[in-house]
Amino acid sequence: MNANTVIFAVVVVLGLLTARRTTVTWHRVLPLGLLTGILLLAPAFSDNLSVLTPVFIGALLGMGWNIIGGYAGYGSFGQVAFFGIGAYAMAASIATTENFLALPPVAGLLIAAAVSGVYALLVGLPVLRLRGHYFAITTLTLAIATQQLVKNLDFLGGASGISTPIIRKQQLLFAELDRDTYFYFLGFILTAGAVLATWWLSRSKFGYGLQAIRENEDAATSMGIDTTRYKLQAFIIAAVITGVAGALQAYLRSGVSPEDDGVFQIRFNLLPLIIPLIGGTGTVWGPLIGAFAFLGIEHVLTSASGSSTFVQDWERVITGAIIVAVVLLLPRGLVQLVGSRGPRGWRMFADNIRATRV
Amino acid sequence: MSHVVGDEVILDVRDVRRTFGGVIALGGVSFQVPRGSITGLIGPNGSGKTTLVNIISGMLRPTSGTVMLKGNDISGTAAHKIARMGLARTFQVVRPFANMTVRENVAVGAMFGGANRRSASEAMEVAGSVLQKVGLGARADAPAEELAIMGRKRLELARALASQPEVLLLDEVLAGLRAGELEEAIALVRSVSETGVTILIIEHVLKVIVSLCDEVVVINRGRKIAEGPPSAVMRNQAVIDAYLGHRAATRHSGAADA
Repeated sequence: MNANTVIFAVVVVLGLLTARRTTVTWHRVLPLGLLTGILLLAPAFSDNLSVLTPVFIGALLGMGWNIIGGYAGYGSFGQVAFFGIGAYAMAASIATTENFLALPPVAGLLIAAAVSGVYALLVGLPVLRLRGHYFAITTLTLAIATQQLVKNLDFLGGASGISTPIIRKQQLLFAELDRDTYFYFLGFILTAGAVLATWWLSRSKFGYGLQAIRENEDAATSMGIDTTRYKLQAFIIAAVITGVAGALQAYLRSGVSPEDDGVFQIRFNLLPLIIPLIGGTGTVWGPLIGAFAFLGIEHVLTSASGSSTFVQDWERVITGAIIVAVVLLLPRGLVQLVGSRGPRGWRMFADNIRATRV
Repeated sequence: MSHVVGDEVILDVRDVRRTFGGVIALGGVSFQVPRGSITGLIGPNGSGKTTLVNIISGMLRPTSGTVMLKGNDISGTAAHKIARMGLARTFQVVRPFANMTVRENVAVGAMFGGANRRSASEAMEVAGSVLQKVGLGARADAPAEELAIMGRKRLELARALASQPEVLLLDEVLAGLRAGELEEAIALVRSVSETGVTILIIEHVLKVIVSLCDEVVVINRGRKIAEGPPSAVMRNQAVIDAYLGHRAATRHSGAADA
């Protein structure tokens, strides 16, 4: 067991304690303080910080999807479109080669957020008229179409993509940091921002409106909710968070490629779905918990596959089995473990299986 | 009668037609609802009652004809805008927001309905007092999915009331209730009416119509066949033929006269 494995486990536990339903404020503030502390101090005792930065990208992907899929109930299967758009916007902004903008990274992040948001506005207007399976299929098509579109745009580098400078040292706020520490804290700040945004949303009129749409769209509209506007706003916010995740990916990997192993790869279309599912959809802390839990399991399996050929051969199968187990035993995600409703312990699992069985 | 019926027409349905493909669901229906009244809308299954409610509340567009709310043409206006103009409705098949608490369900009504002005925290307080009024105060923090049918109907009503509507459309809220529950529910509707809310109530339970309504509109096969005070309508031969059957008519007109 290495230091990173411990960090993954501790973050999941503290995340769950923070997500607990309780009326006693310090029961949540204390674990939140510890969680923040652990994440801020992780660079001091992590054995390999570059393993943790992608977890923030995963958490952002999960939190982006969570706004439209978890709160508004419109499960998008095409978030990679916005991830890729954000990544390309970032790469085109900060690349120093000819025809690109050579802007500072902060400007790149803002441009990526804006471009992803505008793209969501344009595609959202027609796509959000669809419900259920039709919406899901259309967003999946959107992901494929966006990749092909970008691949064929010569000013975005065509089939070869865009390369950006490799970062070795960089100034972040007041300190000059080495590469790994810099990207870790950049990921931390962006993730913290997304958590705050989701927390605000969960308590706002907007958030209640989205949940009403998820629960019953006809009832929501007859109660005075402008469902078209709310869905579009949620779709845009989701795309902005996802686009920022893509921007971080492009920045971290020094560029983008339109190929199937690049920013449009299927992994970045599945993580936004799997992560909230594991942590808990439609909750503030679910995606963060899900990111550390799921990517933590991947990390453990990858570490073990060095010494075990069995794990090496069966890694994907084990990951898949864990996803199925969580969906069956905890359909509301890991946060259900700390929920205040329903039975506890084994009875909870048994009830969940009974409820989801066909 | 303790509620006040004014001269002003608050809801005016004018020659509303609606077709689905070749099927005529509504073949030109007109009626008026005076402010402060309890008006009943009855008709056999498939007569077009719910289609009419859906048109008035903006869930469906009329093929032709107009609906006027407080003097404004609302035919074809989006449902959420009509809700903000002071019209609330319940659904025949109740639609609770199952994964939200009872209080949150009602707060959504308070937040967006009416003028759409309340903040989330103000709406939570309004929700608390409305839940007391409909007798769900003790269940405020339970998930809505845990409510039984009577509770769900109360919740449906509470959500509509929380928006402080001027006009309330009740789409068969009383169907499926047992005798004791029915008395309770009727008292509840009366108390809502006494606060000045105009009510258009769609019902199958004839006892309700007779004891509760000032005026009744009867539709059959998409057309209005009678309107007037309940006692007169119940004796109307066209109504008896279309809907009631002779025995029921005798019994209920007797009850109304007593």
